[in-house]
Amino acid sequence: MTTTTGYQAITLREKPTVVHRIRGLELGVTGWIAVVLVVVFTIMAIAGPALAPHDPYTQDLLRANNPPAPGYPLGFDYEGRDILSRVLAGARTSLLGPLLVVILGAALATLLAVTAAWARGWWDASVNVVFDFLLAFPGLLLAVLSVAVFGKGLVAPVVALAIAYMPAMGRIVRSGARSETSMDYVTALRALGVPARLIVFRHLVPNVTPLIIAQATTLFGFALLDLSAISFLGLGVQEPQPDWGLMVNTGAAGVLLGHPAESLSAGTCLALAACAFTVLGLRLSRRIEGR
Amino acid sequence: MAPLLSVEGLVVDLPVRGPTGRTHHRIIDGVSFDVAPGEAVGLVGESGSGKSLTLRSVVRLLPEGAEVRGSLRFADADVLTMNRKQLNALRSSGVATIFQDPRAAVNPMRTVGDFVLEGPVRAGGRNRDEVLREALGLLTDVGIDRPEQRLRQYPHELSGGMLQRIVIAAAILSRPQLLLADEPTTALDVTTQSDVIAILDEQRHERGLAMVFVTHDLDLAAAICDRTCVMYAGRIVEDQLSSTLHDAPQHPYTAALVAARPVLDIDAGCELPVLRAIRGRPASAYEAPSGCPFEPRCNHAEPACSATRPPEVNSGCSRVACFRASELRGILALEVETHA
Amino acid sequence: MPEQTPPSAVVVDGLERVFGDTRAVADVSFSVVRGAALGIVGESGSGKTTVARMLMGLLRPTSGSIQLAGVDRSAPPRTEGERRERAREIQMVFQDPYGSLDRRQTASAALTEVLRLHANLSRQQRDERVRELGDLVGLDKRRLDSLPRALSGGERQRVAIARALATGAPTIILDEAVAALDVSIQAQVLNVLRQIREATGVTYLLISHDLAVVRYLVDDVVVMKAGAIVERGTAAQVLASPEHAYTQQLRDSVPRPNWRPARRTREGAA
Repeated sequence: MTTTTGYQAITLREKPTVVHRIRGLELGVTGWIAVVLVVVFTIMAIAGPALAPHDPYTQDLLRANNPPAPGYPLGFDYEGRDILSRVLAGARTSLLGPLLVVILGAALATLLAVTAAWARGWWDASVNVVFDFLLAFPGLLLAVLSVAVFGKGLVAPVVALAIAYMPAMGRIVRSGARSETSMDYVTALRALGVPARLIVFRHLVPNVTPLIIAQATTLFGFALLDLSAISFLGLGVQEPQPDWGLMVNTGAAGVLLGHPAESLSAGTCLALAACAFTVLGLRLSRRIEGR
Repeated sequence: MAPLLSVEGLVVDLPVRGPTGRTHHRIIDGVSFDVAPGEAVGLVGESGSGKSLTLRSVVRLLPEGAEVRGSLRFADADVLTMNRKQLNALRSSGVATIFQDPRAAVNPMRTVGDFVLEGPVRAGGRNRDEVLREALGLLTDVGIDRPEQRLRQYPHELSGGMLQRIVIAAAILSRPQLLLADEPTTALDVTTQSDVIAILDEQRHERGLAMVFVTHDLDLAAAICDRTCVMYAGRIVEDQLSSTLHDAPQHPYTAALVAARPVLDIDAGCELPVLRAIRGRPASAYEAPSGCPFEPRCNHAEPACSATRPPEVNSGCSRVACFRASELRGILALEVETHA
Repeated sequence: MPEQTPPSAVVVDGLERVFGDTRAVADVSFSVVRGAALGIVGESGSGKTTVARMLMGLLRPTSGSIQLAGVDRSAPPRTEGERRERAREIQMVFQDPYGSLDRRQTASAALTEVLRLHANLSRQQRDERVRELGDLVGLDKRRLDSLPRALSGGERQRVAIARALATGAPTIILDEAVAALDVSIQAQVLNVLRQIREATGVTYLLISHDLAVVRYLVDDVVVMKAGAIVERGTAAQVLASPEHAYTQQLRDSVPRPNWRPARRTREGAA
């Protein structure tokens, strides 16, 4: 029996289906909970506004801070808007920011790190200095400063955080790319006359991509918290746009009146999403290292 | 004479993380052999044959989750039921193990001296000075010059060949009855290999050390072992005196292995023959067909070979697992003739 | 020189390479006639791989000259164009079958990439050429469409050989190319290498410590020790009756039936 199943496993390995690939990740129970949460939050971010039972922008000051009512399971915020609808609609703005942060950060990090690992010499040294310098600079502070310079809104903190997060990804990508460049296949490609840009972008980058994805997933959780903190301080996304960090702040009035639903629901979503992405990212990193 | 080491019906399954979740793969599928005191036995095979794992099973150095069945007895003690303390005692005094990469065996942060002396001192009975004196003599014996200085050095300061000799000296220092050697010379240059083999040879003859020597090199095993076991797909397919193995192989796989190697000694004028390659690739136990595992690659296979597993048949001091062993004897001898 | 002598594929003259204060390669000279096969025999530290890296243009010689097909190639290529040119002159197959292929690229994709760079072919012609190269090294369509991890060590080496041939290079360096393979697989690859030589007239430079493999594949050998050539001649003659003590020692170190290795005099014993 062992022989037959063993044999099948080997033949399957050549062309694994998506299911096999995912199963092969071996994430463990916590990892799987994280995956489920990530999927749920992704659906919320894509379809949240459509799922919202009411318009998240309709104000009715007569029911401001009212407790839950039929059809309004979480009650109303300080301007009388449906909290559930705002939590659902807020998923998009809350998660879009960190997504932009990691995409921008990863793109920058990959570009710098892989070219540094390839070229070595002065370029590698300069990239390292930049990474070290940025690593010493707190991301949140950079973001607040950039808001002070470039004004409130999503763009300034996203760009600032992307730059602040870049070295964390860049260092890992650089060391990954470096061990790739010391492998024979890279020497072989050079000897085969393959142009440097093709070696870098067609061979090195795809081979470090798993590293980048794992690292970006972890940082997504951190970026989510940082951006929410900025929104909470009123420096990021502005009213009346629904956003979880902002809602934690505006819900404070409700907390004092004994209706903590707004702060609590937005805060829970934030905490869960941040944990889920971080855990998933760490699990993926561990899997890659284990290879 | 009662065997020092007795392995019987050893079966080892290793856990694998496959695309369909966790399963077990059979790597060793019923291996039996004895090692008498002072005897050297070679385990020869290609990748996946289970030779290294067989060796590791003897001291239970197996990956986590491995399932082991069968019987493993060392000096009449059951290795498989030993507790941690007994196992440590076995590893530190009765059985010494050396591996292919000497750097994997030593702690890079500590001096060579710490590595060499720690085991024997901890094993008890002797104080550090006594052990040190013996160590210095032994290091000189294995061809290490300025041994006092070497003991103060760190592993990275020494070459692989020198480090492997030191690892061997350290292994011998604990006065084991049995030495397990897993490809100890594969990473070394040929001239260093011949040094290391000479040292092992001396130790065997001077101290009556028994040895299990794992290698992919049939000639090497035949040269230094009294007996050679050829493994294929987790099983011993042939077990014979090394002196006759090369010229009179009884299993088609052994003959094919001999014939597949290019020959060094061939007359200048001779047209070099095309090598008799074995078709296909080596299989592991879990991939092997249910009949004779070598049948898909064998030039002498008959329909009957794929039906059932050939039993191991003993005759005199040899043992072979092939249905056609007796009728093929002459043909196989002919196959390896150019290699004699 | 008699007129019938075919042109040289590789001529190395007075090649030297210094790393810090060690001379890794010292005054190495040899030449290989087109279509012939030269073995470079030596142990680790003998400088044989350094010679290969200089021939490949991966390393600059400290002094001395390299000629490939009659053209001076002493210096490593500087531009992309020069690198491409060198790639069409000489290629290399590495020892480690696991590290020398990009693990995310199928065998046919690897071959296609090289052909796109070095041969002006239509898509169809390219596919055809990939199949031909596969045939030459004994890889069928299914194997060609596999990722390296689905291939055995021997199959990976065949991919590497096919890839080297794809540039059209007339000279191929085999750097311990069969050393990491199982005995049965090694024989397959050795046979493939011989067939290729017969079919294409390619020139081999075989770097190896395995005397039997050298004997099987090459016509002439040079024996290197500590960066210098200590003996040279035909493979048959040098390996059967070596004159230099070191070659003799190499020979005596090869395990064989009834081999009783003697220990060398103790290192540096006073």
